[in-house]
Amino acid sequence: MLRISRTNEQMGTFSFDGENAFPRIENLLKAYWQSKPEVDIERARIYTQSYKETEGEEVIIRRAKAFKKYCDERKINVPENQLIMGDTAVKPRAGAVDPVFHTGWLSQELHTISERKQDPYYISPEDVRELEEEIFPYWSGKSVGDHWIKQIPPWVRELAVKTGIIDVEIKTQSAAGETAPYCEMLIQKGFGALKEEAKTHMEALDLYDPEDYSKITFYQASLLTLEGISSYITRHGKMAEELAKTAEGVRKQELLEIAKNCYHLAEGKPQTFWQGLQFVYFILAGCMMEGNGPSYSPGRVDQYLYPLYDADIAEGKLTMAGALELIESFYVKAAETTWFLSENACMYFAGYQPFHSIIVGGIDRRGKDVTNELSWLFITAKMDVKLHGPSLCVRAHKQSPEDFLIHVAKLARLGTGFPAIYNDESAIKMMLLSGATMEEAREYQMVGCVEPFISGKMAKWSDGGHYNYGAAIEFVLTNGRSTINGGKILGLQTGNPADMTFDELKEAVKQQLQYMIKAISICANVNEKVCAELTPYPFVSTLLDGTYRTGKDLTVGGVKYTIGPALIGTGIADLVNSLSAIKKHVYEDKTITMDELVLALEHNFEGKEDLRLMLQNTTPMYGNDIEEVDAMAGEMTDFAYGVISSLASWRGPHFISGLYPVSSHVPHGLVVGALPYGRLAGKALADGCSPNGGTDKEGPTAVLNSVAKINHEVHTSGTLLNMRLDPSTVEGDIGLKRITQIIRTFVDLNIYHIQFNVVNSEVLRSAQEKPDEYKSLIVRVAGYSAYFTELCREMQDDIIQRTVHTV
Amino acid sequence: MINSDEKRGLIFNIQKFSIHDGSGMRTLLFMKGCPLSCLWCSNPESQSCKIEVMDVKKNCIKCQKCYDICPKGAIAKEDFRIDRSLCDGCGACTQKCYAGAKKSVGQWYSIPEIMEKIEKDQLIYRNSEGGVTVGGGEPILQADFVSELLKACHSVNIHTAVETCGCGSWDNAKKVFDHADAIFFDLKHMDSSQHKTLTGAENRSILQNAESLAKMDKTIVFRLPLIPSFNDSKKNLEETGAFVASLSGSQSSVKIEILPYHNLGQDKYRWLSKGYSLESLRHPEAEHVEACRTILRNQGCNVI
Repeated sequence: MLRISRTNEQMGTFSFDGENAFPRIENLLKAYWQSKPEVDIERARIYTQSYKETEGEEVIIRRAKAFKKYCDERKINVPENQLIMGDTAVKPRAGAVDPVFHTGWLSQELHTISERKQDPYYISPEDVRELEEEIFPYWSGKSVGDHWIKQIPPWVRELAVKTGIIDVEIKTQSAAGETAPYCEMLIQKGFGALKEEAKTHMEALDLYDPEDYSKITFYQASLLTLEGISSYITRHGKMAEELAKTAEGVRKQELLEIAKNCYHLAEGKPQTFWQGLQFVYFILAGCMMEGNGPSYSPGRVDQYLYPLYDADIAEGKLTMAGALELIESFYVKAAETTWFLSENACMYFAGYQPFHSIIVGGIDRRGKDVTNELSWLFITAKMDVKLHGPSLCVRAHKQSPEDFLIHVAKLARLGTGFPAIYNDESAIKMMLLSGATMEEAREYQMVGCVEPFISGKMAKWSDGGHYNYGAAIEFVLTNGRSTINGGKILGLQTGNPADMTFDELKEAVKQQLQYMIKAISICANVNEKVCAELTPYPFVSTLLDGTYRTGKDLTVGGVKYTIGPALIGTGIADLVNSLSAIKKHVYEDKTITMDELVLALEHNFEGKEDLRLMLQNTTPMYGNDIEEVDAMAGEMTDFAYGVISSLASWRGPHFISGLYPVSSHVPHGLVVGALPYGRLAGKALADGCSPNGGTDKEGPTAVLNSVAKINHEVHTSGTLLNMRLDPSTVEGDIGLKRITQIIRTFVDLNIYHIQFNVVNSEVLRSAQEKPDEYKSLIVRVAGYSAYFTELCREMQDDIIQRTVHTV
Repeated sequence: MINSDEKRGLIFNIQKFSIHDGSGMRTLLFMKGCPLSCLWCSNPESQSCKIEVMDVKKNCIKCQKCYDICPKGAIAKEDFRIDRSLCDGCGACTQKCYAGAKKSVGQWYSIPEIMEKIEKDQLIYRNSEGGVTVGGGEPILQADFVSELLKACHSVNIHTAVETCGCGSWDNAKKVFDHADAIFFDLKHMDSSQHKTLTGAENRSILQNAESLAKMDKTIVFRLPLIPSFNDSKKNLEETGAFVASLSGSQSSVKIEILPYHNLGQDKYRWLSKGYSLESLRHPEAEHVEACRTILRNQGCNVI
C-alpha cells in the first residue's frame, strides 16, 4: 500500500483520481485541439542546404553537421502556458519532412496528402512548390528508398511492394526509431560531461590506425550533435529570457525559471524534477530532429526521476500537485509529436501516433517492487490529460501492490486504452533470451507499442516487416495465387490442396510462412545495410550504452546489445480458425470437399451463404479455450519463431519474432480473400494474439486461457492482447476489483501484455456520425491509442466489431 | 479424484465469467428441468426435463434443410414452424441449421466432462474468490448428479453455490445443500394457494426445506423475485420478512435479496411456441423496490 509521509503543504491540492483541471493544463489542451496536423518543410530545407555544403565528406559527419545546422537555425517556440520546451516540428502535430527518407513517397503524394483518408496533413501551395522545385530534385536517386528498391531481388520486389501481403517498406520511407535512450545514465551526466568523454576517447585513439580513424570520425560526429543540442537548448533559454522582459506576474517568473533550466541543461545534468522532465523532453526532441522515426521512449520515468522529485519535495521546492502539473505539461508536449508517414504506411500505423512510451511500476534490479508516488502521479496525469501520447505502460507482477492495481484499473476504466499492462515475469525472460544480465532484464522498459527493451543498452528495429498469417492459408488453398491481387502468383506454389492430408496441409502453411518470412528478411537486411551507409545516427547513438566504448554508431553494431530486426505476424487467429474449419468439415465430418471449399472461397461465398454460416457457426474457434484449436496457434507461432530466429540479420546476430499488429491487421485483411472459417474477403484480420471479433463466445476468461497457449516468452519483440470490456462490467468498486482480478490472472497465466478497451458500441457509432462532437474520444487500436475520429472508416469498424465481453 | 462417469446431468447452459450469482467470477451451470413453472420465468427453456428445440425465426435463411431432415415430419414446409405435438426433440434439424434458427436446448454431461470445463477457470476463481454456481432449472431435481458434482468441485478446492426454488423432498435437497458453500433460495409467495397460482405448486415443502436449511451452517441468501401486483403486497412482504427473520436467529449469514422483475426472457417463449402471460407487465420502479426492501428490513431481515 502506498504510504505517503508528506505534509499537507508538501502535497498541495490535487486528487489521485483525476479531474484536477489545472487552469494551465486546460489552456494547453484548448490550444492542442486547435492545432491541425500539417507538413513542416523547415527540416527538409535546412538539411538540404547542409547536405549541399558537405558533399564529399564522411556520411556520419554530414549527418551530424546537418543536425547541428538544424539545431542552430530552426525556429524556436516558447508557447504560452507551457513549462516544458522543445519541439519536434515547427507547429504542434506537424510532420517534419526528412528528405533522405521521405522524398520518394512524398513527391508522389504531395498533392493528395491533405485529403487522404487516414492521417491527412495540410500543406500550403508555396511549400509544395519549394519541395518540388528546390528540395526534391537534389534528393532524386539519393534517398534510402531509391537505393533499397534497386538492391532487393525482383521476386521479393513483386511480393513486397504495395501488395499488402507482406509489409516491409516502413524503414525505407521513414527513419528507424525504436530507441530506449539511456536516461538513467544521461540524467547523471548531462550533455557537457558527454562532450568531455567524447574528447577523452578521441585523444586516446591513434590517428594513423585505420580502425581508430573511423572511431575518431564517430566521436567527432557525436560531438557535433552534442554541440547542436546544447545550442538548441540555449536558444530556448534566450527566447524565454527575452519574453520574460515583457511578461508579468507569475508567467514572468516561470519564463525566467524556464530560461534558467535551459541555460543549465545545455551543459549540466538536471538538478530539479522540472529540469529532469525538461531534459527528457529535449532528449526526445533531439531524437526526432535527427531522424523523425517512431518510438523514442523515455522508459522508467518513475524510477530515474524519483530522486530529483523526492529532493525537491523535501526541500520545499515542489509540491506533489506541482509535480503532477509538470507531468501533465510534459504529456501535452509529448502528444504534439507526430510520426510522418506515407499513405500506405498510415494504414499500418494509423492515428498520428509517435509511439513514445513511458512505463511505471514493477520490480527493480534486485527483484523487489518499486512502485512509488511518481508511479501513481504519472497514472493520475493520464486521467487528467486524455491524449494519445505518450503511451503509458504499467509493469505488473505477482507482488504488485493491490492499491496500485486499483489505481491502474481506475485509469483503464476511463476507456482511453491506457495503460498497457505488462507482465514482468514474461518480459524479463524475453530480455534474458535477448542476452541481458538478470539486473538489466529486470530494468526492462517498453518501446513503441509492446516491445520490451533493455533500457539504454539495446539497438533493434522492433519493426522490420509484417507477415500475414491470413495470406499463408489463402496461398495454400489457391496454390500461391492472391485472389485480391488479380490472381497473381504471390505465394509459394505448394500444390493442389485437395491432394493433401491435413498434416500435409499444415506443412504447406508452414512453407508459405517460411517463404514470406524469408522474403522479408532479405528486405530488412538490405534496408539495414542501406541505412548504415546513408543514415548513421550520431546523436541517438550518443544516448546509448556501448557506443562510446566501441566508437561505433548504432547502425553498425556500436551499442551493447544489438539484435533483430523483429518480424511481426498478424492474424494468427485467422489462420487457426481456417485450419480448424478445414479439419472439421473437410477431413473429419466430410461435410464438404476441398474443391467445393476452394471454389466457394474464390467466389467470396457468393450464393453460398448457408455454407458460410455453417463454417462460421460450427467451427471450433480460437479464443474459446478449446485445447486442440489453441494448440495450433502454439504450433504455428512456434514454427514462425523458429524460422525467424534462425535467420541471421545484417547487424546480427539474428531476427526476432513479434506478434502485435500496430494497425496492420486492417490493411493486411484488405488483401486476403475469403477464408475457410466464414470470413469474407477484405475483412480485417485479428489483431496480435487476440481472437477474431465475434468468435470468442466463452467470455474473457476463455480468451485469456486460449491466448496463454502461445509461447509468449520466445516472441521477444512482444505479443499483444486486446480485450474489450463493456462499461457496465467495470462499474463501481467491484468493477475496479474485477479489472485487478483479470490483471492478476493474466500475470498467473504468463501472458505478456493486456490492454482494455472500455467503451460501448453506441458511443463509437455516434462518434462515426458526429465526429466533431467526439474529437477527443480516444480508443485502443493495438499497442497504442488514437483519436477515434481520426481513424479511417475501416479502422473504426474494426474496433466496433471486436467482441465486447459483458455479463 | 473422479473415477466414475456413470452419473449424467442434463444442462442447458454453461456461462463463464458470471459476476451476479455468488462471490467473484464464477462458472454458472443451468440444470434443465424444474418442478415449478413461474409465470415470469426468464428461462422457460429450463422448465422441461427433456431436450427441446428452440425456433429462433429471425435467424432463418429459409434453406429448408430442417424440413428435409426432420424424421418426424414436424416441420412445416411453408414457414418451417415446428409442430410441437410431433417434435420429440431429437435435434436432427439443429445439426443442419447453420444459421442458428433451430437450436437444441439441453445436453447430457458426465461429471468428468463438466469438471473439465469448470477447472479451466481455476485461476480466475482463485484470484476473484469465485467458483461454481449451479442453478437452472432446479438443481434438486437432479440431486444425485449435482451432489456428486459439488463434491468434485470441493475436492479441487472450488467454492460452490446453488440457486434453488427449494421445491422437492428434504432428502434430495439435503444431498445438494450438504456440498454447497452458499445457497440462494427463492421465496416467491408466502401464501400457498397464491404460490400455486403463480408457480404451479404449493409452497409447503419449500418453507419446510427453508427451515431445515437454516439449521445448517451455510451462507444463505433468500431471494424474492418482485413481480408487481403478484407478490409485492405489503402483507406478502411482511410475511416473507417475518419468516426470514425467524430463520436468521443470530446468524448474520442469512440474508434476503430482492430481484426486481424483468421481461428479458420473453423472446424465448415464442421460440419454444409457448405463451407469455405477463406481456403487459412493466418492471417495478426503483422507489417501489426500495420501499419493499424497507418493509423487509423492518421485519428484522438482513437485506442486501
